[in-house]
Amino acid sequence: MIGGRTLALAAALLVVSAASAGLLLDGRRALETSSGDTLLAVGLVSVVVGTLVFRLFALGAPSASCFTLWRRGRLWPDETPLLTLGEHVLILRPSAGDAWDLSPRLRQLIVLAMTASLAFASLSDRALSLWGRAQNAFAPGGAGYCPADDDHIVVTGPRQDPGCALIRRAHALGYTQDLGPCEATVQDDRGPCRLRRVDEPMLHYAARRWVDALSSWRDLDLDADDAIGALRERAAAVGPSLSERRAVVSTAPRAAHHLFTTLPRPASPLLGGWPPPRCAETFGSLPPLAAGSPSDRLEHALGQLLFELRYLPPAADCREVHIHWGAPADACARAATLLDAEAREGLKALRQRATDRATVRRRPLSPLEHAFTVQCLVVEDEATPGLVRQPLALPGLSTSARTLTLPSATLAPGGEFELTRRLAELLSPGFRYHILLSEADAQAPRAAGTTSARGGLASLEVLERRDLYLHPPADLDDDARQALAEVYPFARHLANVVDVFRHHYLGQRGRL
Amino acid sequence: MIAPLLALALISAPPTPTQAERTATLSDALDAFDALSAEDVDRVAAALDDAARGRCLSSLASLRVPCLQSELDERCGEEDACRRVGDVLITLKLAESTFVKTSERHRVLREAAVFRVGLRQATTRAHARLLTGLVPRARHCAEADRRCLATAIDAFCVDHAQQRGLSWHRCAAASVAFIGRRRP
Repeated sequence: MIGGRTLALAAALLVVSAASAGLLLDGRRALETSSGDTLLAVGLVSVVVGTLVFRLFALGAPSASCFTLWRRGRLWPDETPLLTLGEHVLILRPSAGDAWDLSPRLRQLIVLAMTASLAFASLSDRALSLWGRAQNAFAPGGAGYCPADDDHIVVTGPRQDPGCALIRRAHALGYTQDLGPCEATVQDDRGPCRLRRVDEPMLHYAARRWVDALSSWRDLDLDADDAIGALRERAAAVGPSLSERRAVVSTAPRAAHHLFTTLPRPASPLLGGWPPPRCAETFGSLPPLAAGSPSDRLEHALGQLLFELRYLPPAADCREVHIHWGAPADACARAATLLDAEAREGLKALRQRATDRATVRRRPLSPLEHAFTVQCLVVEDEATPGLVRQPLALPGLSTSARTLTLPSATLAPGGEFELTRRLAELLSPGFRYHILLSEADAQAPRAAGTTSARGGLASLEVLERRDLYLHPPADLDDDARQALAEVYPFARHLANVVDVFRHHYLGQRGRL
Repeated sequence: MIAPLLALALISAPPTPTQAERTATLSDALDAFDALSAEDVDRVAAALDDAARGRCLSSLASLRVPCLQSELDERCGEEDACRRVGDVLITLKLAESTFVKTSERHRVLREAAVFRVGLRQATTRAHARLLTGLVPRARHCAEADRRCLATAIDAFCVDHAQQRGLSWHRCAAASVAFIGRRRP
């Protein structure tokens, strides 16, 4: 059985040694570079503090409790089990004077060693220097007396140089009335003394300090008009600032892009309807080629271009894109009336947010044209692909709506490449995907004709340089389409299309 | 005359081997590695290396592929195993920069005594890393069952192509070459 004080002291020694070793990684070097003053301070602190700790906590007395390792069995009421170690149990019980303890001298030595190592780790030349300078910060404020009058009067005696001797001689003989610069001078270097005078009563001195304090407050250089103006300006920005922060915290939409399409709402939506409840999960990683109805294909292409997280950064959030299914073919011409109350509220919220941001950041109001857009996708059986723009006037916003017309074959199996490219052109005005933006090699199609017949793995190398988003394959049957989906390097070409598109889109459209 | 040919080429369908064709190709390639001795494989690889750095040197992959294939035809003649192994090695040659990035090549250039040897070791390490994903899928295949192994490689590389961005044929070539060169 071992005494509680001895055990606690041993644990403290371990902790302090580890802490000191951590604080003082290179003890020998610190010892060599410490000055004598520092070592003296370390010694004094360790002796004084160590002795105090040893006395105050009575560390030299025999332990009142002890720890014992017993074989499992019945415990006495005053025995507390602490830890079970297999067949044995560690108990804490009162000591009857039979606990083993280190000798008091050894314990005092351990305490001194601990305080010395802590003092050595925490005291350094710089710390002592800072302590020495700290007393300046506590210089007496008003507890002193004004010095005596004579203390500040400096009397400069007559100059003794040869020139002055002649002038003094002339003055003595009456040839000149004054000694000029050679005359003895009296200087008083006293400034106004605001301390207590030697003969000043205490109450008078106290009253004078109060008056000084009041007058110093009165003398504060405050331009009332400017201060009130600044306060009003700040108060005016509180509302917008709170509103802006509320919008940020609630992750309110920073844009509203409306897409009207003649396609019907998907009966069994591939992506769970629009907008999907969990955008990141839905569009985290899409298959390269779409399946399902034309509406599903549209969602898929839109997801790849705007949201898919495999290509960073995403260009928009799902809540910022609104698809209006089953819209008439002239939806963009009638967009002002087709936009429902929810869409108008969205526009109003965007305008408010833009105003708040302009107020808070003291910048001009951001234009809303890039954050609130209207597009239309018209799908017809035998249509020629084309894009037209129409003016659109909404309350507080004058912009234009763009209509893309596509043949229905583009939204059928095999039309994915064309659909992605055309949709990108609709969403981002001025975007056009061409060979200079692609990873395609101009020679690749010819090489395809010569190598594909040969077979083997190397013949597929041509796919690395063949961008199907530029030159979509014609008339692939289901098997060939499935095979193409499995071997075509989408990660190269689709990633390039999406990257190029998003770069352009974020410059044209995007968010507040 | 050239314009119609080019237009025809532009709309030509890309090579799209079906799953059965891909598995057969991989199985045959694995068999070809078994049929050739390690020295023969190294000899084909060295010949293709020389050609890639010599007469087939071009910035256009579309020119390098037929050039290396013609080099292979000259070296192998009608020997089927040699041609199949060469096909895999050509694919790996063209994919060298995919497996060993520029920074790694710089490191090899600084540290390796012989650059080609260091590059080959770095490539092998990259292939080994790739194949750590294949091991669980091919665990059920017997060592001699090349068809099973080929099916596993195909499925692994289809997933890899769609999820990780490495092309199917490059993934398949790396897998076949790594397994083929490490015969018992």
